[in-house]
Amino acid sequence: MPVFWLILLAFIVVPCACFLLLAIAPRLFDQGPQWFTLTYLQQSLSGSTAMAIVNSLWVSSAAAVIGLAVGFPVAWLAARTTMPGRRWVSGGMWLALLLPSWLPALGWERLVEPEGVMYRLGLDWPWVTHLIMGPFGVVLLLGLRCVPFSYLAISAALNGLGQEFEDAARVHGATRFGALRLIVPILAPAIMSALAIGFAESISDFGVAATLAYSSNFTLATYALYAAIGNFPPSFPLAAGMSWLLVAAVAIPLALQARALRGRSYAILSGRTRQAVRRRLSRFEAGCAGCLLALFFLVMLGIPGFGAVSGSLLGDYGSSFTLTLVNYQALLAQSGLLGPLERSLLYGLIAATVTVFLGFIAARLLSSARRTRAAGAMDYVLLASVALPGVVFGAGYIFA
Amino acid sequence: MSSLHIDFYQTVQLLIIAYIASSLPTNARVLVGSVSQIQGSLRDAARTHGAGAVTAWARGVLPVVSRPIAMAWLYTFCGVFLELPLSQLLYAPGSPPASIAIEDNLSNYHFGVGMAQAVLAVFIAFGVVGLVLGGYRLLAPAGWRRIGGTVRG
Repeated sequence: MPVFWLILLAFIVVPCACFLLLAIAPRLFDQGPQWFTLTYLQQSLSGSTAMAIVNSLWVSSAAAVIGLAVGFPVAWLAARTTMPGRRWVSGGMWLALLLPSWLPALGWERLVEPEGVMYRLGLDWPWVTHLIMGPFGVVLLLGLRCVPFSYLAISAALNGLGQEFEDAARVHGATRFGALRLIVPILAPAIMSALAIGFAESISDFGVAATLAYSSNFTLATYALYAAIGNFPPSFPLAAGMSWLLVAAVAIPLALQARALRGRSYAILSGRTRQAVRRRLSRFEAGCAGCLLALFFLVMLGIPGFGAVSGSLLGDYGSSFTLTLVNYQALLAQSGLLGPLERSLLYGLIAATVTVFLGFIAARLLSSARRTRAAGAMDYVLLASVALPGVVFGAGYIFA
Repeated sequence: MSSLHIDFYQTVQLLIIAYIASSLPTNARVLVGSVSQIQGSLRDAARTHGAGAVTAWARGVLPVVSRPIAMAWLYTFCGVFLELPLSQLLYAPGSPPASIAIEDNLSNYHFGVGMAQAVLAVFIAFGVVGLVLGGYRLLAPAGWRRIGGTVRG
């Protein structure tokens, strides 16, 4: 336990805490003359950084709502109906979850940008370029990113929800929509989880912020924070001020979710719970549901995948859609192009192995039958670290 | 740390430490569910039958948690393999990881090569996922794979 605490303090708590402290006490770290100041917090709430934070707040809210609006019906159809392709939904969601957000963003960008794949195919649609390379595209991509989280949260809750609630509502004369109105409040914890996780994931996302949003001149908070450190001269206190706002933006919805659910019971799973019966869809309904599911996966994985693969098979110059393997040949022939992939493979193998080893020890300590105060504190530290955006983590490390 | 003459900035070591530190909280959360289901009696029974501490863990506990450990490993691997924000801030000059190399190529208008790197990276990631899941299916003892499954009557 003491060794594990030392690791947590040295590599998680101290770098991040020092970096956050820098915003209000720059003198402590020789980054300014003040022992205590709110100047940098005020600065981060004015001008272009304030605009970036406002952009992040509304984009993340919209993305979380889109994630729920798509994820809920998909989870419902997959769990409760005979929708065609329902067995593939879970795998598809995990696939989308494992891909970093910047990859689909690059795929979309390469597809719709001027002289991109779309124009080379002869589709001269500047309105699509303007639509995707702007706030709409950013919200769409982040919203699609939230769908797997919503799907997993809702489908886990649906698995424990028996048939009896719907049956009771229907017996008392409720329509299918009326039965749904009864079910939705019972699923409130899952719905609020989906919204909170979607919001937290979107506001702390750096992948879309550094690719599609940056190319579209639509600055998000995580990129503004990166720019505050990366630009010359770097402003660590300003970046730390923005970090406070980002951490608060992530922590507040999670805390509100916990508070809203406290003191209420949503326990529905018991020995008498009856297994839900799948509703057999008519051919028309099954066709519509299958098409909507296919459309969802097409937009989420198919279109960016097509953009990425076709982009890799086109030459950099020219305007025709002539496929060539020249880029892959260059990848194999030119030294230094495969190196980064080998390097990341090695980093991934080392990091995953060490992380699982330490994660197992942490899990053992957290699940110990004799729950000590130290274990409780570790639980809190680890939970708070989950809410810490990666870019704040990185900035903390640079500063440390 | 620089004032203590420990200069880690822009080194591979710092990048890997940052990857581990940022993945650890989620990883612990992923594993805590399955680890909390393990009763101490599993290990105690093995010890009573004469197994040493390591053998008791390997034969009593590991089979129960082997699948969650494999899934947690894959989740972390995929997250780290194409990680962007930490890599962008902390990578060692001259040793860029995949995400930085792809970004660099794209920002220098080498779109084709950058996208080819991205496509290949995704194939490598899914190759590793397939290898681990396939390896588990082929190599793990049948008893390990049956734990947590449903019984067919």
